[in-house]
Amino acid sequence: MSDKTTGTSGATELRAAEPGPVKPAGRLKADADLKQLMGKYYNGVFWAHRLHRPIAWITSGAPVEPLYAMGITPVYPENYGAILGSRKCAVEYCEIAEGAGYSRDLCSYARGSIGSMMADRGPLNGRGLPAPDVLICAKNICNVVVKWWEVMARHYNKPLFILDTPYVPEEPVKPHQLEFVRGQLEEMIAFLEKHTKRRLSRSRLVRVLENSTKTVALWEEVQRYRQASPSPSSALDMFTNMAPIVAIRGTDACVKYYRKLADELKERAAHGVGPVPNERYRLVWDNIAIWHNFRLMKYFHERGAVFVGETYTNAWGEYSFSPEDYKDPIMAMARQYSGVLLNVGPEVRLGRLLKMARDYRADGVVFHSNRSCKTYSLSQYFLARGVQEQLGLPTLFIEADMTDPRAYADAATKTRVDAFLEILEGRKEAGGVGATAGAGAGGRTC
Amino acid sequence: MLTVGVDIGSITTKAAVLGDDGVVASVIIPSGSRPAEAAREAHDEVLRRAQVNDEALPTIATGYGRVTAPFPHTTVTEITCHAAGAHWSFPQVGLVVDIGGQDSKAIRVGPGGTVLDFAMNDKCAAGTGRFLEVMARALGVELGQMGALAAGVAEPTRISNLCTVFAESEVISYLARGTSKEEIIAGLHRSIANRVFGLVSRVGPRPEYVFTGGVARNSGVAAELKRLLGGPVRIPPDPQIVGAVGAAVIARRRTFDAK
Repeated sequence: MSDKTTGTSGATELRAAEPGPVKPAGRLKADADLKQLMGKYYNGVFWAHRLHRPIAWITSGAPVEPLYAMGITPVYPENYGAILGSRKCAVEYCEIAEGAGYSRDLCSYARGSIGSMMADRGPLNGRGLPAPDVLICAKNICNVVVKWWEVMARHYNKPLFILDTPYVPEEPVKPHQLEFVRGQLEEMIAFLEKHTKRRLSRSRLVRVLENSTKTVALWEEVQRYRQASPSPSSALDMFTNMAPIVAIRGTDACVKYYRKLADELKERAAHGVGPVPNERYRLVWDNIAIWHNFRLMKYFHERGAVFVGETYTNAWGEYSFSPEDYKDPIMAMARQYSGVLLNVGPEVRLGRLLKMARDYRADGVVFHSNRSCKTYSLSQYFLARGVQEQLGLPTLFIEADMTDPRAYADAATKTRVDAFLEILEGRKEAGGVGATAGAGAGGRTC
Repeated sequence: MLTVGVDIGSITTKAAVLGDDGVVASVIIPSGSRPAEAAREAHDEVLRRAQVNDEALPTIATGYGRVTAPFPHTTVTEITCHAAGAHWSFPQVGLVVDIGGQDSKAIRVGPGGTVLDFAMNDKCAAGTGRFLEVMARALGVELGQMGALAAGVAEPTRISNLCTVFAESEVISYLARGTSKEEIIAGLHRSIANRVFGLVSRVGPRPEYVFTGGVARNSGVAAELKRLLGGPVRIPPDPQIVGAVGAAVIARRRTFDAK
């Protein structure tokens, strides 16, 4: 009678009536390669420092291709912030920054990376990230990065370049904006050449852009397999597996890795293997992962819910280039780096979200209202309304923070998740409580 | 046929037995520090009052303590239960405002009492039953008297701070300045209604409005809510047990469906 061990009632009861349980797929085989690949990348970062090769600290939305083409090692403080989160040590570093006067309302990637920088401590080799020679900050993801990068540049007394990318309220990007960003990119390249004493070869740049394009095509292929039911992967896999496309996009190793990942997902999709074999609800996730709490994802999985798409991982499917682009690679980069997810208007974001929900046959959308990322979270109520009105799908809000567990309440969150799954189940059953409706009429009106 | 609903909340635990003609018995007890024991006590007591001795009655537990309830049960969240309970009393319900001990929520309800959307307070219990409890203590008044005390106030005091702890300091500073208790209480009611109205706006206001939870017993908050919603607000006979009744309603529906 009791289903205490299985949690929410409706879903579990129904699933029990279906054909015998299939074992959920474990971790991806590619995960071992991923660990090795990212380990190698961070080793390379520390070695570059020892060998006096130039290191650039860059934002996640900055054009990385010219750096790889020039032999400059890119380092991502944001990715580092995510590492602090997933290794559950973000609070330790955030508190160092908070002690120095940084507000708890500030982005936790910023607080974590600033704290690690100030103490020169970190989880990767005991110390913080190796010092930069130059810093590149692209404004296309948020405005916090501008002050954050200024703080870091001041700390190391190194030159900083701020790449200005005007906001794009609607697509396509206007020609005058493209001209402006092209000018910015040319200045950025001149800045890099001056401070690293390295020249950018156009042919090498095109070669890197070709690799980026191949990577993006493979990333899109990986995502496409998730249209299958059951989905061969969930958000948990994808949030982990996005590290290479962020950090080493444009390299040969990156292309090789995603070829392998795509093959594995293709195989899984063909054999009906996935993390939630008895898949009942297909969901889309909006906003950055809750890096410190992947258990919450498993909570969804255990209740028959799988994430078939994330706006966050999907955003890295945008940096692709056509052969036509290689004639004017700077202009092509101007276009791609202007139209990124957090630099476009809410209408454009809604259009991309609706398409994703349709393509992946989603039953609902989960919005992570991320205390850290105001840019990402700001328009979520508008997006939720759009999803409800245009697709008739229910939505859920989860209040949390990408790396700071102090902004998360487990019991309250799980109640919301359970209630949301009850809504989805109710829609599947398409029943009501009509049998007894109105029987308790009475009460008062004020 | 009888079904049982037990709502184990943060401050009180409620239980109801539902029969063919309505609620047969109900009980409200403090949750205390051991919610599982409170759940057991409420469950046993409601069965005693209903004069039945059958642990095997279809039973649904809801509220924060739902998973650990020490008797045979299935679980449903209080969001779904409040929608079902409000719909059971008011079949035309379009929106439920529920303010309990530490949660306040707005629930948009569709045909048949199903939940279409909901919004809940963030990680803060300001504007909930616990908030009112703290303020009643600070003001030296009975919780149950607050509605009546605020009834004739023309100009409620503006309570700017919505954090429970800071609002308490604010109330004390008003008292020190000589502001009347009645005006302060009216101000507190307004601040609670304003806060929950923010949640209502997120899910979209749809008449008919039903107000549930322990705070619905406070006529001052109900009046402020009515003013903000711009329409009548329905309050079930015992708004505090709506979650428990809803749980029993769902248990009843599932038992019918299974047959």
